[in-house]
Amino acid sequence: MLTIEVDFGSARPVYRQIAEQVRGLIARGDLSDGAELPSVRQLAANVGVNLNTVAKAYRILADEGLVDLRHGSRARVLGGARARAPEVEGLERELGDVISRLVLQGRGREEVSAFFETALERFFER
Amino acid sequence: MLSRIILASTIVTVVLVVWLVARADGERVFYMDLGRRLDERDRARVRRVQGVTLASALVGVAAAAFAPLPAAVLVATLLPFAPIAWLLVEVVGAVKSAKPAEASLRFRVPLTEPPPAKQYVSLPLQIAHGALIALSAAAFVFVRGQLPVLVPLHFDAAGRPNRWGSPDELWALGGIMLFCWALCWFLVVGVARERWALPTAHTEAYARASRRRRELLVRMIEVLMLCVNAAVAVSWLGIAIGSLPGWSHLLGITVAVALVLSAGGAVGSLVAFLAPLAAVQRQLSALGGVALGTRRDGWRWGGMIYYAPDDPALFIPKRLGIGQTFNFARPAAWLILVLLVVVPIGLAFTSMLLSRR
Repeated sequence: MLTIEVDFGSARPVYRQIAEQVRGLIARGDLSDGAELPSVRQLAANVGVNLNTVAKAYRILADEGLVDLRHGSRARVLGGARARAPEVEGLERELGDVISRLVLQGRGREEVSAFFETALERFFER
Repeated sequence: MLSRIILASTIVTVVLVVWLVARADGERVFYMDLGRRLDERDRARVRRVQGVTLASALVGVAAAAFAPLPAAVLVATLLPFAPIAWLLVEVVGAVKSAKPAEASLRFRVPLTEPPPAKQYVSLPLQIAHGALIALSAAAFVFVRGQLPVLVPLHFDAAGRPNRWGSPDELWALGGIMLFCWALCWFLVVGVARERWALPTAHTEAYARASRRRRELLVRMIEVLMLCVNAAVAVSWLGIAIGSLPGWSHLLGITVAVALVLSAGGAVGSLVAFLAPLAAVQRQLSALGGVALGTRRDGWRWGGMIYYAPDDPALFIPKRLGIGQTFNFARPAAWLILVLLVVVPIGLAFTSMLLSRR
């Protein structure tokens, strides 16, 4: 069963959590081209949030070219190949922030590198 | 004699239902998971309910057997409230002392649509239910032309007719059957549309147990409602046929059979489904909690009421006991509650108005 995880205790907004995880599933190939996402109403009911929260997550994915939103029908995955090229600068900034946090925790260059290695292995193993 | 048996069986049915619920088993009392080990106070609660229940049964059966009929009727009407009221008091007391585990703020939700309501229902039971209503209506249409101008429409607790009216008023019983069937489907849809929140570990096992819980709840509702409608069908046709010349002896038997069917449905569904439901609830509790995904601050009055304005869910699994509750922050919850009260009262009121014409 394909699932996503939500954490109401996290500082990350729920719509970002949803968007990030659906993006991850598409990237790993778990959600393939043409796959239907649950309706906004159904996902909002299961997560326990307002309809707008899920709609916002789906809009982010649609803006990235990962999901096709058509009025009156369910959101459909367009597939990674059609995804718009991400802004490299923006991604570097986000990665830089992660590295800063790890360094501030007292980790050295090798430990940070090992951290990324493990994260990469987990991502492609799933 | 028949009327006294009917009175006694009314009391015994209520007593049996309360007796079945009055249990302390492992970490559950009155089939509620209090989130702590049971202690002597919990067992004392069960003993008190059993004591009141047993006393009610003895007094009720004795009154039904030996008291003058008016007094026996009064006892049969009022006495069943004693064990029910006592049970409610003890349940509230137990709930106040509950320490349920807080629902995790982290959980998983499926990206596939959950199984629809029709996947939980039993096709043979639904066909039987539909056929029961259709055949009852057809049989009534068949005898309608032969019925006298006035037929008995209401019976006292001893099973004797105390109000007469037009045979067309008996269509109200067909309306009640349709209402019960609609109610059955409404409850089934409520169970099917419950939130699909799953724990981060043992996700598949939890999903299987959650599905099993829903199947058991739906089956219990289907069996109970079918028995209730079978009782209504027996009343409907029994009254109609019992009004025909030479068939009046059917009236008393009709009341008795209807009572046995409704009592059998209530007691039978509890006997058949309470234990497996309790087992699957225990499994869900061990795997991540029954009310996963609900707001912690939404549970009020010790967890008996759920009121969470920021939670869009309408149907919520009970945190302590078996079954469901509403999210009372949703206006639909109040609307449904009002409808469930207004429709039966409306049917009774319409029947009364028709009889006065």
